[in-house]
Amino acid sequence: MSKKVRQAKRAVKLIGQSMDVSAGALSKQAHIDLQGNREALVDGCRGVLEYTDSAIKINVGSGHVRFCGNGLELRSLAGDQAVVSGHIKTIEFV
Amino acid sequence: MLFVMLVRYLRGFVRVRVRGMFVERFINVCSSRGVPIWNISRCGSDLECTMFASHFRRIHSFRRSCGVSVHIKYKRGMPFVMRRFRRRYGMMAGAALAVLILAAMPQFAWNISVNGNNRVDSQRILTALESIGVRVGCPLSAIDCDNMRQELILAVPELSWAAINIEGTFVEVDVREALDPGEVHDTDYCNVAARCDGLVVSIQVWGGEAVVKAGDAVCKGDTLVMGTREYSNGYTEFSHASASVIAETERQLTVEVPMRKTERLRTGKTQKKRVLRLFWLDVPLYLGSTQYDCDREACYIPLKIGGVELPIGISEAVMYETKTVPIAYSAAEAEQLARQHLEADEKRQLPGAEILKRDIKISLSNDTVKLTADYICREDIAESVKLQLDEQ
Repeated sequence: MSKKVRQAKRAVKLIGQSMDVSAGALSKQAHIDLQGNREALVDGCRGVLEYTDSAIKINVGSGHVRFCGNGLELRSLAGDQAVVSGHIKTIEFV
Repeated sequence: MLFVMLVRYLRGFVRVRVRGMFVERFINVCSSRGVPIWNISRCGSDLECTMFASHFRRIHSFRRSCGVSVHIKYKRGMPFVMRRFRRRYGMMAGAALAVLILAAMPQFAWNISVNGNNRVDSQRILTALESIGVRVGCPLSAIDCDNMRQELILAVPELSWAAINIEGTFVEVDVREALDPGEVHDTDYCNVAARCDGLVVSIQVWGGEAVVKAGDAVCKGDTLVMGTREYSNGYTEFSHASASVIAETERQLTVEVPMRKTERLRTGKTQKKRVLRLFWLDVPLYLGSTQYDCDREACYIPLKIGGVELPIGISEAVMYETKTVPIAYSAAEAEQLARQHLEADEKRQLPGAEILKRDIKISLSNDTVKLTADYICREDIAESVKLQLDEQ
């Protein structure tokens, strides 16, 4: 990562902190919105790596997110947005 | 979500079963190629998902490279429904016509309501509006509210102010009526004048100064009670003159009844005819035409939804068959009829008058009985006449 990119990221982080906004909101990192443990909206999905009833693994650019549970399914996949629904037990960042 | 479902239905969607070793790869390629998929579920080693019908052809280009086979499970949505009816031209034309009507209807005036009139009949205002181009069914774009309100005031001189407002597809006409210059209110300065010639019998004054007394003969228009009083210092006082002036008056009424005449009589045969009215268009709901003489009594029943009158309705007309019958009266019958007419005329033309003497002369000429009645009445001949005062 070049020095300029690092400086830009630091500036974004500082702006976010000063405006009391989460750092992720101003960067290109993935967002995960959870609605209880029944639904997760993943914004910034780069691909589905694993898809079974008990586990769904999603590439989010900076890493992978693995949802484990029962009766999991991808309710929609459009662009870089994925909706995982089912009984989510754990979320792992791998 | 409802909107999303509606869009999906309108665009049409297919449920597909994806079979192969690398179904995750198929999902990723769909995502990267801009093919949105939803309701993705695992069925053992297979995968089921839904996509827009228009995107289905696009997946053929990469399904082999993903190593999967795709089978349609079912198709749903408007394009498939329309496809089923593609050879039913009448239905398609009907649907197109319905859409056209829905698009065109808001461009026309559905109803015209008139508010604020008491003395002037609404029908007269509506007729005047029609003459200047505002009628049910006219294009709303053709209504020039500013100019047409001026034209309406010119067409109906009894109006002092008018406004034409367009509320959606309804035209609301608000009017204010002009004040009658001859109308005298309790607060106006006025004299009391004689309504007709007569001999004053008694006078009772509640306001103003009487200028006649019992026994005086007065002509029509003569001032009976003055609403002005002049003082020696030049000061003039105005008041609302009010009085009851009972006078003996002479009146004459004439009635003529021809002994031979023709009259239209109803035979008892009736026929009902209904017409469907759409805006200005009348669509007859009957066959044939009326070949006989008839009286027509019609009533219009508009379609109302929630108290709002729509420009659609049924006009029902009852046609009463009539025939022209010659009638001949004897002299006695004609006189009897003339007396009845005279009695009706008395009630209408001499209301509140005490008839002291009635002298009836009967003459017969050219098959016509003529009754000439001379009356001596006792009645109140007082009439308020507004004073024309210069504001300065």
